[in-house]
Amino acid sequence: MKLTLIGGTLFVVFTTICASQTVAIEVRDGWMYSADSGMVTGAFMTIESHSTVPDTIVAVRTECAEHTEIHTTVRNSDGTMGMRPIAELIIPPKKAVVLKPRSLHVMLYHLRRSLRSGDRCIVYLTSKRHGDLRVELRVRR
Amino acid sequence: MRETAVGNHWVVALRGANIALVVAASLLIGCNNQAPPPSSPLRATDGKTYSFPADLRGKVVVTSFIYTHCPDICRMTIGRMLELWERVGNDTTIVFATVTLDPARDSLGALRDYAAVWGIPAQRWLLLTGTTADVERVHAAFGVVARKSYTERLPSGDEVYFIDHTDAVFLLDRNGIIRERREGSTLDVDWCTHRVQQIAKEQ
Ligand SMILES: [Cu+2]
Repeated sequence: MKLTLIGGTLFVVFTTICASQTVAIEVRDGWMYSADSGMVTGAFMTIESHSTVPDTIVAVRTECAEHTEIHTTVRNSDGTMGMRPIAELIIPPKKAVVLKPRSLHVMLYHLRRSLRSGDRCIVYLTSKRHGDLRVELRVRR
Repeated sequence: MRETAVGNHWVVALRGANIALVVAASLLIGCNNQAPPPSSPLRATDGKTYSFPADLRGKVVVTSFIYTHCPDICRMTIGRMLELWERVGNDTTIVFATVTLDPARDSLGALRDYAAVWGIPAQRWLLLTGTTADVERVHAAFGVVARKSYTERLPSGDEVYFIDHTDAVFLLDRNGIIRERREGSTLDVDWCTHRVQQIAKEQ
């Protein structure tokens, strides 16, 4: 009885400590536009640094698509809009970088299967300092 | 002397004609939307070929330009068009036309697949493509620019390219005249609903 109580208390203390330890780089609010197998689509998310040092996202991969890149949206001097791949995405310390339409997106080339509203897709971002960061994308129209 | 006088008359007459031309030209430029844009044959997702936009005369035409390999700007534009459709789509005097910016990749099949993913209705919303020359003529008629900006080879060996393009949608009245041009991806759907309905009410 006593042992169980001590064990329970220890468990509560332990989980409390764990929960209060925030991850250095948090990837959240991930979503992507629906597309059918073979199509190209875009994914969006928030990458937040809780760290005091800068970090860099150097790669993105997912089993949902054959190829993945980070893209930035550009506006040219003639008013035309376009997108360009970027090799690295810098995450400044204690800042959130938001991938959102008209700004930054993860480009998913040639989906391996159709993904429609309500489906899920797991993406891994590779951080220079913290390795693979997992984010689940919610598929929406 | 006489010859000179005749010559002077000619000069005056020519000057008069020139002034008339300049006045006519500035009138045209001043109201640059007085004439419908020139048309070219495009194939549509309903299986028909249209001299676009001439064959849609008699309808108010909500015209947008997108390419299916564009998940950012173009997807936003389609999102705005879908919202607008929800508001005005049941008015049979209004049709939607979405022209590709990328005729090389956007076949009719690709446009139909795209329409299926986004739930674009099959009736009164045409997605249009055609030969590169014809599609480019339609772009020019609307003052739309689309050019390949960047090409890369994927690990699979597939080559992909991006397109830098104008971000615009247009409202054409029943006479085929362009009445409004607005940025597509950030379109104010409330404003556009009101404007489309206004144009649709005109005789
Ligand atoms: Cu992209």
